[in-house]
Amino acid sequence: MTWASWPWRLLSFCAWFAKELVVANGAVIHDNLTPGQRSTTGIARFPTRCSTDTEITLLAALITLTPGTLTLGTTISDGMNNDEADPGTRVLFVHGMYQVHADELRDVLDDMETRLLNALRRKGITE
Amino acid sequence: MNALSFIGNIVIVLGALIFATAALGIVRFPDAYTRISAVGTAGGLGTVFVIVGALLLQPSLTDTVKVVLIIILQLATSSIGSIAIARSAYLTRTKLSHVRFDDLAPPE
Repeated sequence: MTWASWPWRLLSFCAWFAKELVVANGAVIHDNLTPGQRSTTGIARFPTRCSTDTEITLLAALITLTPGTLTLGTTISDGMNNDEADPGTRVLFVHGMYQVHADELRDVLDDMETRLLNALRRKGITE
Repeated sequence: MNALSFIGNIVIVLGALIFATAALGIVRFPDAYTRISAVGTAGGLGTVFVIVGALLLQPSLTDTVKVVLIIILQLATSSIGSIAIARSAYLTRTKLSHVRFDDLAPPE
């Protein structure tokens, strides 16, 4: 991706997040107002691709803003804990309300992370 | 009453209703973490609705700038506050209910 499309990517991310905010709010309010509890909660370890503190702070804040997902904490991987995480990988611990498996929650977070990094970085995600 | 203030009043009432559901959620949801999520609906959408409704009642350029600033600051502080509360809840070993998975749990 080129830097020329950067403002457009930033704007479309804001629009996508506003839509996501309304959808997630609707889900929590619906669960709240209907009888019974259908929450299946859990905590997932989510190794991110964020390379700066700004990126991980924004990602953690946006995850918390979306009702149903909640950041509990963050750490920097030492590479010993998990095979997939290189040393220095920034890791988030996220509490999810409506996912049955940790991988399901990680898929949701991965989608948001990809969109955020593509919007934030001037050249998008370059591996 | 013109159309703009009519819409503004509806949006303010919607925001107040979201606040009411958040208060209900504090009573109904099972543990600290899900309750934080329930309150998050008020801190996010509820406040935004009430503020935007107030802007629609008295629209002006300077007020629009203020509203944009308020929304950005409100969303940033409410999310950081939620993270701090959730983190301290976990550090004081508050139990989760309806747990299906926990990557933070110490290995057996």
